[in-house]
Amino acid sequence: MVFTLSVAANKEGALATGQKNWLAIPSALACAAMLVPASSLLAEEPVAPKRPGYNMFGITGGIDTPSADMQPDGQLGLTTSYFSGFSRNTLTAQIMPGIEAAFRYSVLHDFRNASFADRTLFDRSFDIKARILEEGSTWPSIAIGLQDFLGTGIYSGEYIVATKGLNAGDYGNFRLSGGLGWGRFASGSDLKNPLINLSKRFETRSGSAAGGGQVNVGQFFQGEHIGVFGGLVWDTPIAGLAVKMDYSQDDYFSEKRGGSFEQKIPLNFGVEYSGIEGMELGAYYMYGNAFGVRLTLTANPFYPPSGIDSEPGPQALLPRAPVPDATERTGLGTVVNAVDRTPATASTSDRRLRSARLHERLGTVRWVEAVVDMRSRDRCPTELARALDADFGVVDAVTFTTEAGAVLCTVALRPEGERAIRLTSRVTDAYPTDWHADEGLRKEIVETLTEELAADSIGLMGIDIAPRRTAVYIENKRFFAMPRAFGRTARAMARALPPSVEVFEIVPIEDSLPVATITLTRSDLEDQVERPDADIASYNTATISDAPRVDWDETLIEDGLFPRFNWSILPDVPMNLFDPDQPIRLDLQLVAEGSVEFWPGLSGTAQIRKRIIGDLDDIERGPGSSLPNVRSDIARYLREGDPALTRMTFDYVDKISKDTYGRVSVGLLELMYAGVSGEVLWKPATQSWGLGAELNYARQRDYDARFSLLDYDVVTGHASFYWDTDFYDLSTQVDVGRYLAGDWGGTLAVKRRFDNGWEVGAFATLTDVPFDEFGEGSFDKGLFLTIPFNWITPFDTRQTVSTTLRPLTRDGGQRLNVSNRLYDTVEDNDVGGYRATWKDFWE
Amino acid sequence: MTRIGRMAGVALALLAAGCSSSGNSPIERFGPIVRTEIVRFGLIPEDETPVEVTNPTRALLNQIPFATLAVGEVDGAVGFVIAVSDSGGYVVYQDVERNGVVQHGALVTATNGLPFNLSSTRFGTGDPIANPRPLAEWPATTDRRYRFRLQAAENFEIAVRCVYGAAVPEVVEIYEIPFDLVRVPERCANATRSFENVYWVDPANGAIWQSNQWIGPRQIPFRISVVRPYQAAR
Repeated sequence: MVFTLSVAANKEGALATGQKNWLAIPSALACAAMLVPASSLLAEEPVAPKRPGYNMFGITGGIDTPSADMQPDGQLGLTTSYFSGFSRNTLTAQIMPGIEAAFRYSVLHDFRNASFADRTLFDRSFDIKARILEEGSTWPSIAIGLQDFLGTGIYSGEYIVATKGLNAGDYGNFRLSGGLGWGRFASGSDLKNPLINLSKRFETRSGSAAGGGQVNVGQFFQGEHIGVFGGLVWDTPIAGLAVKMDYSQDDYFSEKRGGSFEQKIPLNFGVEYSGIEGMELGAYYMYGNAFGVRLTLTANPFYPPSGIDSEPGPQALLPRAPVPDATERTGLGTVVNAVDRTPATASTSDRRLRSARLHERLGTVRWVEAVVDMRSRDRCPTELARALDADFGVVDAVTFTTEAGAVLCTVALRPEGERAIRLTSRVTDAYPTDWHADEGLRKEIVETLTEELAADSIGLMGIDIAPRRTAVYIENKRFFAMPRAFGRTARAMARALPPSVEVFEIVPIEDSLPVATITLTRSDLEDQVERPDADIASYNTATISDAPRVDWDETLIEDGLFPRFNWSILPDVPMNLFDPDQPIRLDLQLVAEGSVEFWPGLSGTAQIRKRIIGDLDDIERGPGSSLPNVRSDIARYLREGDPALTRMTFDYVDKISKDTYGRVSVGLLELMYAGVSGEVLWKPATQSWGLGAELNYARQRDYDARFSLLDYDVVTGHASFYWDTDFYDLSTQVDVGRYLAGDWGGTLAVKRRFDNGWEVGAFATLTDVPFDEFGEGSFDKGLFLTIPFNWITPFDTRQTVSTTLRPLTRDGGQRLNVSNRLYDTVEDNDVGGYRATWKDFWE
Repeated sequence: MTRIGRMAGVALALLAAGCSSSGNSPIERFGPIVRTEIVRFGLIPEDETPVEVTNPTRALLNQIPFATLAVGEVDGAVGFVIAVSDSGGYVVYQDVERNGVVQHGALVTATNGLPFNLSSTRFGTGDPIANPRPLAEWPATTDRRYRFRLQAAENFEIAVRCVYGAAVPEVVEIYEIPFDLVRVPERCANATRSFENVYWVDPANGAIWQSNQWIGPRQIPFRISVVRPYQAAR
């Protein structure tokens, strides 16, 4: 596209454009551009939103009833409540906006009647609540919920509830809830269940499966009666103080039958205080018969406690000096950088101007070619370029030529023009490359680069230097966000490599595997650094692709790098939960690990655990299923294996092709099994899903966790499908195959992976083991949680702490615990993972 | 004393100049000067150890061959940073620990090494702080967008409109050199917050020799004094 500005050089030198306010137009355009950048999507300073309180069941609601309110997205709560001998301990997650889920472990003293030797009941239950209508100015929010839908059914009930807020000005705010409930919620009601009119099958509410743990679909919304409940929350003008009142038709029939509790009135009253960040305290008078208390600890992955980053700033990226004759050869003449200088205040009344034509080059770069009455040795008319900028509205660059056709100079007026000039200059390959022939100089460059990267705890494992393109193989030991390591590496490369190296390739190495290639253009980096929205610009100009298999003989920075040794001694606190004899058992252990990496990918590792203090060895519950005791005799290992050799393996990992990885492990694979494990993973860095296959021969280890083996052995293995959905950061994994007890089946795991490393997820395994043969719980299932340290710490780190909560440890659906599975290694190293954290590229 | 020896003395003396006994001030993260840069340019040997100087003199500062800023909290401890790169007008000033500021003109567009850092600042071409111009040509208002980084959280942005107040002549002394300047307050605000910057400006060319600048909602404002001005290569 060409725009032409006619120039009528009259005596006064005025232009026939009719423009009057030369300053206003470019300024207005610039301001308009400034006000609608991509970054305008960013929010103001984040402040944790005001959120509703939890109830005695640990979900959002009143005192003993739910409401339609929801916590802020991602909110996690750990609630413990107590009244009349009933203790409920609930982990709750707002897994996405409008969906709240909870796992509860309850200890109900004197729940059973006196005919039982042990009258205390230990109960596990799961809840889920979904909002079906969000609150508006005139209508309430409405939610539907299932309580204890996956447990033994002690608290089983379904409900639909509506909640509306009322602002009382200086008197605070009120939240009013009302709902209808089935099951437990209707236990004290005489109202007939209206669904019976639709079908007689709603008349009878069957009991839960004997073993519990199954979805109680057959009883949802069933039962002879329907109950009514409601609640009122008054958020008082005193910050953090709320007063609550409940009406509930849950008459605690089961508890009354056992003689442990009797409801006198269907009302609850209480006060709550949430003025301390991350904590709620409540005190209640329950059903006219008991006092209750509640404590909730809560956190939200989106809101770190401090947000402090104490990392040193990055090294400055030093732009290369221009090569003068390069611009001569490209028809640009001498280049003058006038980016961000003062806009013109005068028009192009310069008598020297003969004509000016506006072109769009290299896409949308607005470039003016101006002919002037000057000699080639005259000074470049920078002021005239600014005046042309004013005349045409926005101009990125101006090239001046004399009337004789000689190129005088080119003026860059905006960063886009600066980049276009650089791109034009680059084709000349202007920078000398003779340095590459000097081996000593190349070695010096590698040393400098190693030193620059080491300052940021980035290891330089390999390098491939070419005159115009250099690849570095880095190990990021520090930055949680990989792009932050890429940015630091790019800065170091720009400082250490000669100016002729235009293309930077950064290959991150994870556990000796090259997992991706990030290709950056040096000119782009020079154009982007320190500018607003530099992160977006760099992401748009970077190329992310698979990393090829590496020939380490040719690539290692020095011959003596291998073998290399690593060791660590760390404390660990393993837990055993939900044992009826003692619901929580803990150990403080020391874990010593040493490894030697003989060559990239080939290593040997040993790990020993020693108990310092604790009571995990007190577990007395033995195996309880008719299956081979592949996991349920864990207690015996804990008792007899101290110290325990928890791993001693030789491992080899390598890339089979640019997007396929392989692993073989041999030895003592985990506390309970020795054997051979092989795995293949296909996971291109440019796609969000991958496929894997694993095959193992495992033999059970002796209980002393040393070198002897038991008789039980098994061939086990799985085919796996991994998918990062990009929907609310949800990731899924499906494994299908043979488990340790020889059972066949599949596992579905769903987790939400927050950009900052938090993970909250759940899994369930169904195999061909019948529920009654599996034992209590019916099938294997659980929750897992990962918290990144840098969410709490003021420094950057890749360390995380993870835990898996299983209601019960049984023998069906159990897999080997192999330490170095491939997907865990490559998971964050793809386009989606990098995009999520690219904002840290320049940090 | 050789030139290298003098430079070493200056640089090493300044290495300690930003420290104080309190030990808690964020500004103390700003060491005095970019030792690595000086070493890179071959001005001091790498194995020299710092010596303590509490009040650097102009004579001492004049020996630094780089553009230098004194950066500190208003009425607080001061550290020195030197210009180490110029990327299209964005000049990076750093100290030995890589802490520092980035400026376009006199406007702080980024900070490095603070607990909460300003990532970037978007400004208009007419912004007289980012693009110096004679005081007579200053606009009545200018718009800016400040972008901030939080560890393990999303970045956030604060957009403000800034209005300039009346200029008042003042003599400002920067390390023994008095400057005849005018003091120009700048009031920036949006719907939820406001803050004030102050600039001491040479009215003839708009050069800003000293300023108090807001650098974020969780940081104390900076006072920045130009010890040796930066001159862009032309």
